[in-house]
Amino acid sequence: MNDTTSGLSRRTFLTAAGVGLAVLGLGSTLAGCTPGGATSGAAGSGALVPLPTYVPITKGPTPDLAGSATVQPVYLSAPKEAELFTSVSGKAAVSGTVSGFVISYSPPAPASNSYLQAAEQELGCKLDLQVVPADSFAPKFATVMAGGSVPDLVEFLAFQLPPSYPQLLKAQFADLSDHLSGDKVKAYPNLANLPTPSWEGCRINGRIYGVPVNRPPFGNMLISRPDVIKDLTGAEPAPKTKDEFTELCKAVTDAKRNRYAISGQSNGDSVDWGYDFMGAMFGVPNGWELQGSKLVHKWESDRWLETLSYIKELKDAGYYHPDTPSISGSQAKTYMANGTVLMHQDGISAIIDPSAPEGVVYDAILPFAADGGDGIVYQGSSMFSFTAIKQADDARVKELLTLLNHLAAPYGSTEGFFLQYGRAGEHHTREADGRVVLTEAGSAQIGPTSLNRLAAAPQILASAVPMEERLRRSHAWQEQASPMLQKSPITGLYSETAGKTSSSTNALSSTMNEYVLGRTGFDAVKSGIASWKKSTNDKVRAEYQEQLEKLS
Amino acid sequence: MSATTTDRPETIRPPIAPAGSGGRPTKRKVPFGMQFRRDSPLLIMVTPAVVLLLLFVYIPLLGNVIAFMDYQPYIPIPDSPWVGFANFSALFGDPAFWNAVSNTLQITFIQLVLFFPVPIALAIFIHSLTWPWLRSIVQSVLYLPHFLSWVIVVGFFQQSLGSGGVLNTWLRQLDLGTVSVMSDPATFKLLLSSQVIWKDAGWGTIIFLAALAAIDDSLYEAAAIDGAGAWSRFWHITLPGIRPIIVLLLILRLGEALSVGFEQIILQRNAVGPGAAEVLDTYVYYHGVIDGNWSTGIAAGLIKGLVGLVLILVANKAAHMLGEQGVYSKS
Amino acid sequence: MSTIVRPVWAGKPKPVVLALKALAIVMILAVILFPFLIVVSTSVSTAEDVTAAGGYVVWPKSFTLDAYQQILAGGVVTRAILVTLFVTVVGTLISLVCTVSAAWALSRRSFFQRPVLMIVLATFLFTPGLIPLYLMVKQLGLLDNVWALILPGAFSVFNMVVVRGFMMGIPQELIDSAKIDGAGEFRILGTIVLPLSRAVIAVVALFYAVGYWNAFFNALLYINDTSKWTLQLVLRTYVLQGSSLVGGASDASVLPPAESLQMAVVLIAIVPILIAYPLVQRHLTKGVLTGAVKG
Repeated sequence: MNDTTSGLSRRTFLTAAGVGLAVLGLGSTLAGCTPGGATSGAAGSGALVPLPTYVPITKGPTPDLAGSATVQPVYLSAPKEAELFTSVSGKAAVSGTVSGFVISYSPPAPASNSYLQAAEQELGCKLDLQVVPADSFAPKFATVMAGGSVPDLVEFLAFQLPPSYPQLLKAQFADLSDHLSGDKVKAYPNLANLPTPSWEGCRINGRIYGVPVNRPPFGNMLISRPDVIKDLTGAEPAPKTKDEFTELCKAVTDAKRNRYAISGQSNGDSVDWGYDFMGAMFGVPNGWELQGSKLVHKWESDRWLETLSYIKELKDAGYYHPDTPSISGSQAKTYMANGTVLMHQDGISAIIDPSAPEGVVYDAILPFAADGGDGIVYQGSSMFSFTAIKQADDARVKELLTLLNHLAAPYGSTEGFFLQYGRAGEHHTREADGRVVLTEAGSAQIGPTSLNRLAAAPQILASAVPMEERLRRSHAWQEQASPMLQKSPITGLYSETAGKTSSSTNALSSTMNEYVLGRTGFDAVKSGIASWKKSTNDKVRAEYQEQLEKLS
Repeated sequence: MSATTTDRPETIRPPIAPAGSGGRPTKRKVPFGMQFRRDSPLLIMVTPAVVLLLLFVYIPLLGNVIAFMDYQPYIPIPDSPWVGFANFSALFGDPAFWNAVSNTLQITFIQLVLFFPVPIALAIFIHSLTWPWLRSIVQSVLYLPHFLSWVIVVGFFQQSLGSGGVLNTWLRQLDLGTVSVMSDPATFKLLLSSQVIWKDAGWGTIIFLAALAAIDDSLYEAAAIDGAGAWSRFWHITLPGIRPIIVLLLILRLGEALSVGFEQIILQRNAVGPGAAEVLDTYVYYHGVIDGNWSTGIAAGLIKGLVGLVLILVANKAAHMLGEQGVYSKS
Repeated sequence: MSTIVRPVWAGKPKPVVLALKALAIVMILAVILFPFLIVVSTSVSTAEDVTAAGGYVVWPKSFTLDAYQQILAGGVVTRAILVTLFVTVVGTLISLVCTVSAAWALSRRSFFQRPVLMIVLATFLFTPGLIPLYLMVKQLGLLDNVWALILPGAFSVFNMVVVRGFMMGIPQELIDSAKIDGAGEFRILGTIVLPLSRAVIAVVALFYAVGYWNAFFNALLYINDTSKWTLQLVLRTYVLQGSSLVGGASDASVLPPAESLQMAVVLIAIVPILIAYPLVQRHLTKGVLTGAVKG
C-alpha cells in the first residue's frame, strides 16, 4: 500500500527484475535446444571456421572410472601431491588489471581475500571481478553493457544468452578465431583440452568468440530415487516401454501417503512436465529435426501430440504431484529428497547433489522408446557459459587467453589443484585418509571468488562429500546413455526472430499446460500450434534454413 | 523581480494576504517580486525534493521516449528507429492485453473492497484497546508478515492449501476428496486478496494509527460529557477524524490502479492459467521483457501512468465534492 | 503517554465486547504467529528435519544454529550490516528533511504551490526506465558509491503526500497566532508544525528506514564492490547458494538447507525493525493535539 522506495520503485524493479527473475528457470527447456552459437542474419558470415582441435591431456592421476568424449571420468579421491604435474609454462604475464563480469551462486567473498591475492600472484596480474548473483544476472548484464564500460572478460551464460547477443559480440568483443581455430589452439594446451562439443556453442556467426566452461553434453534426464522404488516394487526402476513406465508410476503412487511417482516444476513462464524425457520417449526430436533438407520443429510433429496426451494421461491418473504447476525446481528437489516424489526431470548434476541427506540415492532412468526400442537423450550445449574477451589489440588478447589457459588447468595439475583448493594449511588441509578438506577460510574465499566462471578444466565426476555410489551411478548412466545422444541440427545457428518471439512461444506453451491441466481441449492445442507456426515459427525456420545452407 | 520590494526585515512584515483559514484566494494582485520574497523560505524548503526529482526522475524519464521507438539494445537510444505509436497499437490490438487489463482492474476493485478497509478496521480496533502493552503486542505481531517475501508467503499457502498440501492430504486420507483452492481460476482473485490481507493489512494499520493519534482527545471528552455513547463518538469523531487520510490513500491507490503486484502473481500464474491470472505487469513481462523488447514495457508503463492520472483527477474531484481536500485542491 | 489506563469519559465496556475483542486478538495472533513459528523452526532445523518435513518445519526435532552460523561467520554479513546501517540512518535523515520540508512548503499557499505540486505528483505516476536511471547515476559519478543507495530514492512522493495530508489538518489558528507573533516560515515549521506532526513523521521515518534497510536492487545495479553491498543483497546470496546447483557447487562443504537459510535470512533482516518499531510506536499514542488549541 505504501511506497517505501529507495531509488527504484516497484515498477522499474519489476520491469527489469522480471528479466532476471525466472529466466534462469528456462534452463531445463533450453538445455535440449539451446542455439549455442549463432549466425545472425545481419552480416554475411563467410565460411565456418574450424573448431579448436581437441588435444586431451593424458598426464595426471588415473581416474577410478575412465571417461571418454562424452562420459565424465570418476575420481574418488583428491590427487596426491606426488601426482601433480605442471600444465602451464610460467606465469600468464598479463599486465595491469584484468576486469571481469561473472555469475555467482555464492555469498560474496570476505574483504580480506588471501586466496584472491595468492591467485593474483600465480597469474601475475591484478583481478577486478564484478560478481553478480545468479538471480539478477540479466538486468545487471543489461545495465553494464548499456553503460558502456565493458570489462575485459565477460561471461555469457549458455542457458540465458542476452538478446541479440551475436550483434553484441560482434560490436564489442574480440573475434578469437585467429587465435584458437584449428591447430592454433595448441598454443594454449589447457584450452585444447576442452572437449569439442563445448566449443560449438562459442562459434557465433561462424567465428569463435569465447572460451567455454565445460559441462557434460547431456541435456535433461529423469532423475529417480531407485532406493525408494526398490523398496516399493522390489526392483530398481528400468522401464523399457511406455506401458512399463505407466505401470511403474502406478505401483509407486499413493496419494493418501502423499507419495507421487513424478513431478514437473514451474519455470516461471511455463510449466515443465518433464517434456524432454517424455518427448524423447516418443521420438520427438531435440528442438528441430531435419527431414530431408527441411527443418521441422518438435512441436509440429504428431509425436509431440502423442507426448502431450500421454502426459495428460499420467496427470489425470494422479501420478504427477498435484502442485506441479506451482512448485519451483528447488521445492521439487526437496520432495525428491524426502520421498514425496520419486522421479523428476533435472540435469545430470542432480545425481551428485551434495545437499541430499544421508542414505538418499539418486540415479537416472535410462531413456527408452515408447514402443520398446532405443531411447534418445537430447544433447545440450555442453557448456555452462563461455567467456568473451573485450576487443583489444592482439597482444592483449593473447595475454588474456594465456590467463584463461591458466585458469583452465586440468584436474591433477598443480595449477588446477591450487585453483580448486587454495594454499595448503590456509585454505585446505589434508586428512589422514588423503581427503582434502577446505578450511573455513577456504570455503569462504575460493568459491565466492568465482575464478572458475572465467575458465575451468573439463568437469569431472568427483565430490568432496563422500558419495561413491552416486558417482558410480552417474558414470554408469552416462556410459549407457552416450550412444543415445541426439544433437540439435540448429546447434551453432541463431535466429533473430526466435530471440524476439519468446512471447508467442510462451503463449503456446501456456495453452499446452492448460490442456494437461484439463482446462482446455486438444483442439485448442492443435490450432494454437498451427497459428504459432504461421505467425512466428515459419519465419524462424526460414532463418535457420538459410544459415544451414550458407554454412554447410 | 520587481524593484519595489523594500528591505524590511521579515519579522515585522505584515501578512500580505488576509489571514484566512481554508484559503479564500485574495483578489488583490500581488506583484511577483513580493510573492517571491514572501515565499522564499518555502521555496528553499521545497528545493531539495525538487532537485532530487529532477535528477532521478525527470531527466531519466526522457528515456521513456523509447516507447515511441523500436529500441535496439547496445546502441545509443537516439539511433533506434522511430515507430511512433506502433508499440501502443500493438498493445491495444492484442486481446491478451485487454484480458490483462481487465484482470488487473478486477483485482484492484476486489482489493479496494476487501483489502482496503481491513487496515482501517484493525487500526480502530487496536486503538480501542485500553492496555498499552496489549496494543504494542498486537501491533508488533500484525506487521511481521509484511517482511516475508512473496516467495515465502506463497510457499506457505501452497504447503497448507495446495493440492499436495496439508489440507488436501488430510482430506484424501479421510476420503473426502480434495479442494483446489490454489488452482481454481474462478476463485483466484479472492485468493490473491486473502494473501494480500494476510501479508500487508498489519503494515497498513500504521498510517491509520497515526491518524487516530492525531484526533484531539478533548473532542471525545466533550462528546462524552454531552452524553454521546461509544458508537456515536466513533461515528462523529473518529471516522471524520480519519476520513481525510482515508480519502487521500484511496486516491493514491487509484493512481496505481493498474499495478497489482508482480511476484505474487507470477508465482501462481501457471497453476490457474493466464486467463485468470495475467495482469498488466505480467503481460508486459511475457510480451516485452523476455523478448528483450524494452519499448513495450515502457509503453505499457506510460499507459499505466496516464490511466492513473485520469483516475487521480477524477477521484480528487469527487473528494472535493464530498468536502475533502484530497491529494491537492484549489485553495 | 497517558498514565490513565482508560479515560474517564469512556465508560466501562460490556463483558460481551471484551470477550469478542479477546477472541479477535487471539485469532489474529494465531493466524500470524503460526507461520512465523514455522519460520523460526525451519531456521533452526537440521537438513534431515527440513527435508523430511518438505521444507517447512513446524516444530524442530533437533536444534541447530548452522544456518545462522554460516550467515554470520566470516564478516561478510557484518560488513553489510554496517553499510546498510549507514545508508539507513543517513538516508532516513536526508529523506525526512526533504520530505517534511517539502510537505510543509506545499501545504502553504504560495506562488509555486500549484505547479510544483503537479510536478511532484506526476512523478508518482511515471517512473523512469532502468537503463536511463543507471546512466544518470553513472553520469553523476555515483557508481560504486554508497550515495547511489541513498540519493535516487531519498524522496518518496507518496510519503510526502501523506505528511502533507496530516499537515493540512493542523488548525490554522495556531499558524496564524504564530505569524502574528512574528515567526517566519522556518520558525513555524520548527516550533509548531513538527511537534504536532510527530506521529506522521515517525511513521514516515519508519517507512523510509524500512525501505533503505530492505533495499537490494539498487545495490546490485550500482555497486560492484561487494564490500559495499547492502544487507538484503548479501543475505539473498546465501539463500541462492543453498538452492541452486546449476553452476555446480564448487564448494566441498555441506551447506545448511536452503529453506533454513531462507528463514534465517528473514529473521536476521527483521530483527532491527522489531527493535525500531517501539520507538515509532511511542509517537502513536493518543492526543497529540490535545490541549494545543486551548485559549
